[in-house]
Amino acid sequence: MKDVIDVMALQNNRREKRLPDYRSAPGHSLATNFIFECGIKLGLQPATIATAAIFYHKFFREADKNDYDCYVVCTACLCVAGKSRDEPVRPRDAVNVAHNSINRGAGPLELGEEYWSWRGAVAQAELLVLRLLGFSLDTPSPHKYLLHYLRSIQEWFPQDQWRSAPVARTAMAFLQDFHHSPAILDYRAPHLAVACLTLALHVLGVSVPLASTLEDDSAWYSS
Amino acid sequence: MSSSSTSPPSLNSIGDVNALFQTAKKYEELNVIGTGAYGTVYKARDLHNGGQIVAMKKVKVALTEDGIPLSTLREIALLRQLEAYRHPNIVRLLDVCHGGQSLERDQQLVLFLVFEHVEQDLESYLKRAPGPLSENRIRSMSYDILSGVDFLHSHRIVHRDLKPHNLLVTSSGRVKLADFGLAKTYDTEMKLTSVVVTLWYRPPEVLLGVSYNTAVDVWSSGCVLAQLHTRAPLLAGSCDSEQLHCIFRLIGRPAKHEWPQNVSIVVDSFPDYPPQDLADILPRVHPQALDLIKGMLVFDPAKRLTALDCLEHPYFTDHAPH
Repeated sequence: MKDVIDVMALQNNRREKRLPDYRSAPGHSLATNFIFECGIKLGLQPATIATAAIFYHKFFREADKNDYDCYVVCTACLCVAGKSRDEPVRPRDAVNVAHNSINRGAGPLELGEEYWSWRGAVAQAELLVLRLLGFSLDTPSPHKYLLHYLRSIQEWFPQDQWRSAPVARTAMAFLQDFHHSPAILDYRAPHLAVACLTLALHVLGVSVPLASTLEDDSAWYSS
Repeated sequence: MSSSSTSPPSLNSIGDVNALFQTAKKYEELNVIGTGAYGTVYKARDLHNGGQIVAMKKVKVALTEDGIPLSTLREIALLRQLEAYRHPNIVRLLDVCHGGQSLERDQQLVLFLVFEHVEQDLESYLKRAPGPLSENRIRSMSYDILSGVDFLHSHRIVHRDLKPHNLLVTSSGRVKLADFGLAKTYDTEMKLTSVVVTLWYRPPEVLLGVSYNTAVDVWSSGCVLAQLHTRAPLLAGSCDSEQLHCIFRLIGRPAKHEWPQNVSIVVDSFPDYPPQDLADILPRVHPQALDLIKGMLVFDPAKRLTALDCLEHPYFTDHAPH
């Protein structure tokens, strides 16, 4: 099977051993973990995976969590996010990656009944997600804001100081992590970006050069 | 089945999508408004919004093995995105839903695009008009059409099929554009009905089958603007080649060096029509309107005015308010 993502190879990865067991997790407790794990395995861009998480939160803001299978909907959210951001996921890959993340060590699905029922369920769930979102797939993009803020703030730092603290990586990680919470839907993209940046600076104990010279006591990036 | 506790029950619950659609019935179909080349339009009542009357356009989308085609998904998402601007000359898209009953039958998905309902289109408006439209009415309608076109173009949408039939006229006389942005969605279902697609508003580059761009909409708008003055179509050809003859009888046969390359028809297959004076066809028309329409009906798409050029034409700017 050329070009199909090799799920076995992914599993032999050492990191895999530390990943959660979705089967024993109650309800939706690991839903967003599942989205991020599968998204990374499918090779999707971080912003696309974040979009899938947003679709998931929006979906279950409308629908009852007991009515739909969490992981089928999560897989469908990844498919819709991929299409909406021009980074399509092949259904076969999506199903294989999802199935193997749930059933660790199970090996790729045979093209049999179980595969087709999974695939049919994901296809249906994809339409359902679209219906509940009313095809409003345009999600705000805090990633872009954060990138711009990082770019401008970087110019304030001497090069070696910027390199010594992982500000960009930490801020991006905070932003990505916040997508685990449905609260991501409640804030505007620029606010999210600025919050992640400020938090990263605080956590790393980095102060922005020249900020203390501002007339106003509060720096421009703090509220 | 595997021992997984997640998959088997899930499949049943998702298979029950139809039930959700039925219980969540939001619209009640009233009657058919029209049948276009691409689908049927129904008048319906929005049961969740105090029985507001809406227009539902039924579009059939072929599902591929990857589910809903990427192009369709992106086109509809773009339409939803446009909604945020609430442009006054664009018909409101209120909702998108897919029908429950024929979901995935024959690998087809029935989509309903729910639009605001506008009583009449420009075609029937012109037919019903008791006499010539007033100069101010013509100017404001022309401006409305071009504003809508400019808005679409600035959002990288080419309408491709502008004509009085899909220009809607509200009770206060404002014009709104409808039926755009689904070019790729439609392409998968071109053979849906045998309704004849009118050629009267087609620009020469489309009739000749060469590549085209936003300039097609300016040509079509030019034809419609002329029609606002005369209340009759400007170029009423009966088939592709007849339509080209109509065009060249009006604007003259283009010079050889203007003729696009890679066209199967040679320029000499048309008689050497001399250009006609548009003023003879549009009597009593405002001289500035005449100049504007002439600038829109230019053979070479690159030399045609853009929608923004049109909006900045003295025909509009000399006559406030707008």
